[in-house]
Amino acid sequence: MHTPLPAGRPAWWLIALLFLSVPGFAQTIRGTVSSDQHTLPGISVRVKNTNRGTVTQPDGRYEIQASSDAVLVFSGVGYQTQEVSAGGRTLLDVLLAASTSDLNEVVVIGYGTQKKSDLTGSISSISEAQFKRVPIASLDNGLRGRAAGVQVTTTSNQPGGATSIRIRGSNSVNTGSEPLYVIDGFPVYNDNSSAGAGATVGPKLNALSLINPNDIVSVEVLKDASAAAIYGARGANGVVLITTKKGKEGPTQFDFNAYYGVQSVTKKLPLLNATEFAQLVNDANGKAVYTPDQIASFGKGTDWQNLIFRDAPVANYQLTASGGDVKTKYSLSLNYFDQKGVIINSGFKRYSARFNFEKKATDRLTFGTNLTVASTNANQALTNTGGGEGTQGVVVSALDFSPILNVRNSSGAYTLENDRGIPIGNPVATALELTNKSVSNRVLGTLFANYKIIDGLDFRTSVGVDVINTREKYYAPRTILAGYSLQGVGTVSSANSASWLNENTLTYSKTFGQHSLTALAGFSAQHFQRNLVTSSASGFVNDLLGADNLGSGSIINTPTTNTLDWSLVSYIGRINYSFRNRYLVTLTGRADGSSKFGDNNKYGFFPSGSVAWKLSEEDFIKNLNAFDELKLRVSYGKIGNQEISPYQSLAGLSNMSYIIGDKVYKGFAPSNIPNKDLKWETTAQTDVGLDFSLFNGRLNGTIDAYYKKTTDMLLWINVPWSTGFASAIRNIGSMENKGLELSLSAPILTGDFKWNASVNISANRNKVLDLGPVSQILTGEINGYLKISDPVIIRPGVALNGFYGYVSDGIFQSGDNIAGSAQPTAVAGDRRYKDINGDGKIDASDRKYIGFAQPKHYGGMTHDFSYKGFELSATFNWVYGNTILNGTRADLDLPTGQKNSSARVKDRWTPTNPSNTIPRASLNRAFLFSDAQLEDGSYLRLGAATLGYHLPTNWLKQVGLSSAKIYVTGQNLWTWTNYTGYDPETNQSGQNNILRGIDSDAYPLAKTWLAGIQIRF
Amino acid sequence: MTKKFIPALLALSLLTTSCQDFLKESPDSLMVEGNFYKTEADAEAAITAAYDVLNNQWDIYYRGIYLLAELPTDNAECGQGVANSYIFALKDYTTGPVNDRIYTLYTALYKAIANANVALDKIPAISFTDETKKNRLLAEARFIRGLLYFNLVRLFGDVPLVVHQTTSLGDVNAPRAKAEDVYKQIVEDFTFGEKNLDATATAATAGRPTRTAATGLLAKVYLTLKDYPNARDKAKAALGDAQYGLFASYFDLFAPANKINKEFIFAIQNKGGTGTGNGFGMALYLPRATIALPGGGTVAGNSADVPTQEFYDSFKAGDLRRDRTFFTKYDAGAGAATFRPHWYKFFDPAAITTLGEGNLNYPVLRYSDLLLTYAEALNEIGGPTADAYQAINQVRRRAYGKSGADAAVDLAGLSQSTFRDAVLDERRWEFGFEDHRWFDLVRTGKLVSLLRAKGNTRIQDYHTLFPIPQRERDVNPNLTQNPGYPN
Repeated sequence: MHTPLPAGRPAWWLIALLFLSVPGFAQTIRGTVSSDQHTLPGISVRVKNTNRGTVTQPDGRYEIQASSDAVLVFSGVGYQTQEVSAGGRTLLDVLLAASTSDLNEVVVIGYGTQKKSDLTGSISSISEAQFKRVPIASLDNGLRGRAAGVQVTTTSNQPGGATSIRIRGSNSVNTGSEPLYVIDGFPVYNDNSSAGAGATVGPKLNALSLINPNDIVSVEVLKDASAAAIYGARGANGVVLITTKKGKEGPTQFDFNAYYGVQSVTKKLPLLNATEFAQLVNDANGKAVYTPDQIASFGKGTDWQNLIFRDAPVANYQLTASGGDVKTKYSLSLNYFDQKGVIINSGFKRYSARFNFEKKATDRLTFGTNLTVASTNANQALTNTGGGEGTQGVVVSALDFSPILNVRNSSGAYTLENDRGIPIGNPVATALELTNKSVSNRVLGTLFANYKIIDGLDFRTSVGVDVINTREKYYAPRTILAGYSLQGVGTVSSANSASWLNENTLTYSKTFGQHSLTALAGFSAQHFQRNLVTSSASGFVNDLLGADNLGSGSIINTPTTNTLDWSLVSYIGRINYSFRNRYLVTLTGRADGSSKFGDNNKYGFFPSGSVAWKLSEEDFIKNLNAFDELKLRVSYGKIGNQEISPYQSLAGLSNMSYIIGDKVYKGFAPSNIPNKDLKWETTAQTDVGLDFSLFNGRLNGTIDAYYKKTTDMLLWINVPWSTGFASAIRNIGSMENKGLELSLSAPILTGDFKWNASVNISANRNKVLDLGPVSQILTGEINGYLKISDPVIIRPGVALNGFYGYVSDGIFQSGDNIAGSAQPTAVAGDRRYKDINGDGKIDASDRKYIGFAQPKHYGGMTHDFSYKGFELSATFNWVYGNTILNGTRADLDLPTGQKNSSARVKDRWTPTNPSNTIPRASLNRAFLFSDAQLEDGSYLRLGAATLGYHLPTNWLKQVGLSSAKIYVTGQNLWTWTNYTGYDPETNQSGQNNILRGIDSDAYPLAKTWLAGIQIRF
Repeated sequence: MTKKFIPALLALSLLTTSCQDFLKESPDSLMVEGNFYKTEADAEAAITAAYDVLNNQWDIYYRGIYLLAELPTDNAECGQGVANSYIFALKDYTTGPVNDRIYTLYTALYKAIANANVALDKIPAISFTDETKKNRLLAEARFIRGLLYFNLVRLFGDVPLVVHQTTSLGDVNAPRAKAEDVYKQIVEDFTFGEKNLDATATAATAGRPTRTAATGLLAKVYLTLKDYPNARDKAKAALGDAQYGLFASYFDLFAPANKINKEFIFAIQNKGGTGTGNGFGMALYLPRATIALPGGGTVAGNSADVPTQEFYDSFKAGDLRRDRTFFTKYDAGAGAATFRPHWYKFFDPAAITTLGEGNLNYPVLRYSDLLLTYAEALNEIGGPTADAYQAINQVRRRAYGKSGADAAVDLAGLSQSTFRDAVLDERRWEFGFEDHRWFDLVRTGKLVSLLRAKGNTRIQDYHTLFPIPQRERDVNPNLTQNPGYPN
C-alpha cells in the first residue's frame, strides 16, 4: 500500500517512507522463470506500483530489489501475465502459462495503442511469429493468407518483384486501391509504378522491398471505417500498420539469423520439339518448308526454357543487438539479403540497417528515433512482350522461339532472331546481354518526443523523412534484337523522391469510476516531391560503354526532366470511451486538405463511429460458462481515397515538336480537359463484427460482415476522340463491395505434443453501381501482337473485373454445314462460336461476360505442431472461383508455325484428326477473344512447411548461447490447381484495378528449399 | 523549395493557420494554361503543336494513311513482317469497326484537329505587333484543320465536325455532320488560307503552307466534290505560281539532299538525328535481314509494307519512276543483295543503320498532282482538251526522261473515257507510296470493280468508306455506323 507523499517536505517524506517500509524491508529476490518446457529469457519482472523492473537472463533467472511484501509482476509476449506476492520469500520461481487468448494483447491502432479486447473497429493483427513463418523478401508478402479480408497477389515472381494487395476488394475503377502502409508512424503509399525511375523495362520492382521485413515485430491491418478513418483521405483502401523491433529492458541481447536456400522453377510449359514444330510449319504454310529429310534430322532441338532457367541460391543474414535499461532502450540491426533469380542473370540484393532508440530523459520527457537505411540492387528480367517487336522478354521469347535454331549460329555469333515470320529475339542472348539494372537507396527516419504535461495528458511530436533515390540503367547491345537496328540503345534514369512529415498529437487518458476515456487531437502536415531525369541515346560505335556513356551515342534523344509534388495537411481527432468495461464507443474524425484536388474542393472531412458491447462481461453470458470473451462490434464511417497523380485538376499542356525550315521547333498543346471541381472519392463502410473466445481459450475467432459503397469515384470517363482526348477525369459513379470474413484459431492439442491451428476465409463481392454518363468503360488492347482488344468491359450492375468475349463451341468439322452456320466464311478446322443473340451471324454483339477475375473466396490456414524442442509448421493459402485470362496460352495455342506452340498443338485439327479443341494450322494469327483463352484460377498452395529444432539449453550454455534453433523450410512446395500456366497467382497488370487476373509470360514461380539458424546470445 | 518548408515550421509550432498556399498546386515542370497563350512566341508554339501530330508517322503521314490508302488497293500487300491481324483485315476487306489501325488514324486526325482548334481559339486574344502575322498563324491552323478534315471526310464520310477547343465535359458527344457541311468547313478554311498564308516559301519557312498550297488543295477538294469548273480554276491558279514547277529528275526529287524543292507544294517535314523523334522511319518497308552492312549484320528492315508484284510489273518500259518507287537490289557497301520489290522512294542511305532517323520530307501536294488534277478536271468538263494533254504529258515526259514533246511518250487521240483511265493509271505510277491510290479509286468510282477484276472476292460496294471505330460509337451514342458494317 502506498500513500501519496506531501511534496516539498523532505524530512516528513523520509520519515514517512521509513515508517511505511517497516513491515517489508528491502531485500533481493531471485528466481527462475520458466514455462512448462523451458526457462524463459526476456520476461519482464516488475515490482508492482513502482518503476523498478528487470528482465530475465538467457537462462531465465532474474534478480530484483523489492520489499518483502512486494508484489512482482511477470509478463512477456505470448504468456499470461502473472502477479506473485513475495510474502517474505527471497527465492521465487515462477511458472508462466502460455496465453491462450490473444485478446489481452495491445495492438497498434494508428496514433496510439489499444488493448485488443477494447477494440471497436475491425483490425487484424499479425504477430511476429506468424509473419515470419515464411522467409520473405518484402513485408507485403508476409501478409499472404494471414489475415481475413487481405488478398495478396504477386505481380511478378522476379526477385524483388511487386505485389498488389486488396483489403476487402477494389474500391475504385481508376484510383489506386493499394492500402496505405504506415511504417513506425510514417505513411507510405506503395505505388510501384512511380517507384521506379523509368529506364528499365519489365515488371516493376517492389518499393516495399527497401524495408527489411526481418525487423518487423507486428503488423496490424485496419479494415473498417472506424479503424481506418484516422487516416482520412488515404484510409479508404485499408491501412497496414508496421511496427519494427524496439529494445527491451535488460542486458544486450544478440540475435543472429541466417538462412540459405536453393530455388528452382515449379514447372515448365510443355512445348513442341523441333521435329513437331517443323511439321507444324509445313502444315501452316500448306507446303513443305522443311523437307522430310530435314525434319528427320531435327530431333528434339533446343529446349529454350531449360536454357534460361536455373537453380538459384537465396541467402539472408540478420544480426540484431537490442537491450536497454529503465531509461534507455535500443535495437540495432544489420541485414543482407541476396536472391538470385531462377531466370539467368536476374537477381536482387538488399543491404539494410535499422536503429530504433528511445530515451527517457526526465520523468516527463521521452524522445527517440526510428531510423532505417537500405540499399537494393536488382537485375530485372523482362519476361513478357514489353514495348514491341524485337523487345520481347526472356520468357515469351523462350516459349516462342523456334526449337530448330540454336543459341549460336555456325559462326559462333548469337542467333539474332526467330526465322519463322514473327521477329523474336534470342532469349538466351536477351537474358545475358541486356542491361536492365536498378539501384535504390532509401532513408526512412523519424525523430519523436513525448512530453507528459500532467498525468494522463501526453503531447507527442515527430518529424520524419522518407528519401528514396533510384537509378536505373538499360542498354540493349547490337548483338540482341532489341538493340540491333538501332546499333545499341541505352537509357539512364534517376528518380529522387523525398517526403517529410510532421505530426503533433495530444492524448488524454483518464479513468474515473466506471468511465474510461482516451481522447486524441492532432495536426499533421506532409509534403512529397519527386524529381525525375531520363536520358537516352542510340547508335553507338560499339557496345563497350553503353548506357554508362550516353554521350558516345550518335543519336542523343531529347532528355526528360520532371518534377511533381503534393502536400497534405490534416487535423485528427479520436475519442475512445468505455463504461463499466462493457460498453465501448469510438468516434474518429480526420479533416484532410490535399493539394491534388481542384481549387473548389481542397478539404474533406472523414468521420466514423463505432460501438462495441462486451457481452462476456454480462452476467447472462458469464452464467453460460462458455465464453471467455464475447464482443459485438458495429461501425460506420466515410473515408477517402486521393491516390491520383498531382495536377489532374489543372489545364496542363504537353510539349511537342515539329520541323520548320529544317529546324526543330517546340510547341505546346493541352494534355487534358481540366476539372476545377476534382475531389477525393469517398467510401462509406458499415461493419458488424463478433469477437469470441470459448472454452478457456480453446477456440478463438472473429466474424465480420461489411458493406462498402464508394461514391464520387475519380473516374476516367471515355470521351469521343473528336474532343482531342480519349478520356477525362471526373468525380462520378459508384461501386460497392460487400463481404464476410471469418478467422478461427484453436490450440487443438496442448500437452507435450502441441497442435495449434488457425484458419481464415474471406468472401468479397464487388459490383459497379453507376458510371455516370457512360454505359460502359472499355479497357483497350492488351497483350502486344495478339491484339486482344477490350477483354474487360466495365458496366454498371456487373463486377469490376469481368472478361467479355465470345463463347467458343468447338471446331468446325469436315461434314458440318458451314455455309448455313453463323460463320459462313469459315472452313473446316476453324473455331466455332456460339451465336448468342441468335441473329445468324457472329459479330461483336455475340460477346458476353465469360469469367470474373475476382475469386468467390480466398483464405489461409496454418498448422503448428511442437513436441519438446521440435517444431513443425505448415501454411496454406487458397483462392477459389476466379478466372484467369491466360495470355501465354492464347499465344502458345495458336498453330501458326510462325513461332513455337504448346504441346497441345500436336492435337490440332487436321482432316484426319478431327480435334474439337485446337483449330487447324494456319498462318493467320487473328482470333476472337473467347472462353478458349480463359482458365479456372482456383488453387490451394502449401506456401511453406518448416521443421525446426530448438537445441537444448544445457548444451547451449556451455558455448555461451542462450537459445538456438535450426530449421529447414520448403516454400511453394505444392500447388493444387488446374491452371496450366506457371503460377495461378500472377497478375501482369500490377496494381491496376481493372486488368486483374491476366497472366502473360510471367516470371515463373520458384520452389525453394532452405536451411536456417537462429541464435541468441 | 524554401517556400515549401515554411508550412513545415508553422506546423511544428502547432499554428494551424491558413494552409491555402501549402495546398496550392504550382507545378515546376508542367506548363499550365493560365501561364500560356500570352505572347507571340506562345502563339507560334501553339501552331507548332498543331503541326506536330502530322509527322507522327505511324499515326498519320505516312503510315497511318498508308494502311488505309495504299494497302487496301492493288498497289500494296502485307509483307512477311506484318504481325497484326487488323492489318491483314484491311488488306482483305474483312475489317469490322474494331480495327486498331483505323482507330489509330481516326484518333490522330482528331488529336491534330484539336490542337489546331486550341490555336484558333486562343490566338485571337493574344496581342501582336503585326496583325498580318497573327492572321498568317490562324491561317496555318485552319490549313491543317482543313487538310485533316479532308482526310476524315473521304475516309469516313459524315464525321463529327468540331471547330473549337473542348474545355468542359458538358457537351462532348458531337454527332456526325453531313459530309457536305464538313466540305463547307474545309473550303472555308482553305479559302481563309488563300488570303492569309505566306505568299512565298523561303528556306526558313519550308514546311509552312503557302497561299498556293491552299489553292492547290482547294482544287483537289473540288475535284473530289466533282465541282470540275472550280477544280479547274483552282488548279490553274496554283499551277500559275511561278515559284513552283516540276523538278527535272523524278529520281532526284526524292533524294534527301532535295527534301526542300520547288515541286513539293506542301510536304510533311521530317529530320533525322535530332533526338526529338522527328526522323523519317524506314524500318517497316525495307527488306529484312538481306542487305549486308559494312559494319557487320544486315539492314534491320521489317518487310511489313511491301508493293505488289503486279504494281511493279505494271510500269511500262522506259518509265524511270519504277526504279525510284521500288528497288530489288541494293549494295550498302558490303556486297549487293537482291530481293522482291520493296518500296524505295523514301530512302535515306545515311540512315541505313538507324532506320528511324531518315532525313526525308513526305509530300502531301506535289506540282505533278496539280497537273493531273487539272487534266482530270478539264477532261470531265469537256473531254481531253489540248490543255489536258499538255498537263498530263508534262508529267509523262519527266517520267520518261524527255525534255520536250515525244510521240513515244505523249498521249494523244483519247476519248473522254480512255483519257480518264489514262489519268488514273498515270496517277498510280506517279504517286506510288504517296498514299493516293485508294482516294483516287474511290473518287473515280473504280475501287470495287477494279479490285474485283484483280481477284478480290470480298470487296463490297460499301467499302468506299471505312467503318467509324467501334470505340467511338460505344462512347458517343450519337454516332451512327456507315452502311454495310455491323451496327
